[in-house]
Amino acid sequence: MSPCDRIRAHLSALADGEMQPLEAIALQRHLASCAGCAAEYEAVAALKVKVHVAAGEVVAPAALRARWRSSVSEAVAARARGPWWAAVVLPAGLAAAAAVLALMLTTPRSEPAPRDEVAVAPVAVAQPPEHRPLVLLDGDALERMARVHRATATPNLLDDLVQAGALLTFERLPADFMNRGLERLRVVRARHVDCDASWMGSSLAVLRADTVDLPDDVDHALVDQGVFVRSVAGLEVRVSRSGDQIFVLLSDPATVSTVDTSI
Amino acid sequence: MAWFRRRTAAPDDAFVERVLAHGDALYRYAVRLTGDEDSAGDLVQEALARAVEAFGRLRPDTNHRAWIFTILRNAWISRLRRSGREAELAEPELLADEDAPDPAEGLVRASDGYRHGFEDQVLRALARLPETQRSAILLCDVEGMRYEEIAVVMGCPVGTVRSRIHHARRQLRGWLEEYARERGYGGSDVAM
Repeated sequence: MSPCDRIRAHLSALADGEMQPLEAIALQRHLASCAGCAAEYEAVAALKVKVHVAAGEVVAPAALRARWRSSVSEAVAARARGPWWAAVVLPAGLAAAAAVLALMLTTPRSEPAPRDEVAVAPVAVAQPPEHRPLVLLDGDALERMARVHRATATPNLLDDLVQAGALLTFERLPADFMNRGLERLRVVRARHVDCDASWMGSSLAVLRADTVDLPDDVDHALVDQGVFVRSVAGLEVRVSRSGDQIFVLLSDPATVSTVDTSI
Repeated sequence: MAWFRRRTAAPDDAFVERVLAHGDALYRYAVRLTGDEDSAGDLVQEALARAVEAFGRLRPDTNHRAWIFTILRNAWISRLRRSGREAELAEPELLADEDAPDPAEGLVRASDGYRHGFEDQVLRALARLPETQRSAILLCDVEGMRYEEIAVVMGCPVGTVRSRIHHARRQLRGWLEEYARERGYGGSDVAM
């Protein structure tokens, strides 16, 4: 098995962003110096796009979606009603229990029932933390974002990030942004994010804004750095074109807690 | 009482909206599993109903998308078994990398492909893949799932997902090359 054969066995995973960072760097270095493997990689990447385009355009008809909704609602309602036998057994059981209770209440007793048997224990209800992070950004989530950024994954993954609580928070503003006097921004760095280019080949910064209604000069500053904006599920995601930074502006900072930002 | 409460907890509106939000993606996947849109619609409906039933087993940290796709694929596998088609689930014997024929150096130029209905050729080739490879490639390339997530859906190790996708792509390229040759686009001037 030649070195190129070994390389080619991993090009699919490389195209999918599934190689470990150091492995990916090694592969990229080989591709930079081997036209044959580079062409092979391009072919894999091209096929990936073709499959996405060919199979990704199916959309369910509105009538079908309505049918699903109706079906799910019915299933939920049926579940709320409980199993069919409950409608028969439970009322009968309740009636029997009521009869027994009535009998007990009308029967003179010489001593009270032991307290432990009738006392209702208080139910402990777990309270959610007051400031649950809106999203939690961990290394895994960042990796996915990086893949989105590099167009090796579809942006709908960001929906998952939001739904799965996938963003953690922030700590500091890159010096050049601070120097622009943008006090309204609290820009922070995410946990697991380092600025080492060997980490997924990217450095990522996650920003929190006091408001998403940013001063123009913020946008301009970002645009100057090759950042474009994408809005996904309430998040404004600013992704740099240069491939080295991803900025996320959270639209609802009130729901974001201050969490461990240690790296 | 905890067990009772857990078993009887009813799905809330947020749950309903969350599973329905995956409807299009489930349908997209189901169309490629079943091969026709009517069956796909039914399969999604069955999966959604199963999801409601399985609501009590949902944990706060469950990946909803992987969960609902797992339910759909399991529903499909059940259907295949009921209709005596479980052979379609058989894992093909994969050739070791060093023994496999080298993928074609050139297939079809992207521009040629699109001009000549390339999507149809891709769909035709996808349909020929064994289910295990087809699912892996669809979940990866169309739904944008990570290997880890696909492994959850398919109930297999991540390494198996990696292998299935690698071999699926190699197979797809081979078939697409055949199609290209049939259409007169073979030869050294074609590349994919």
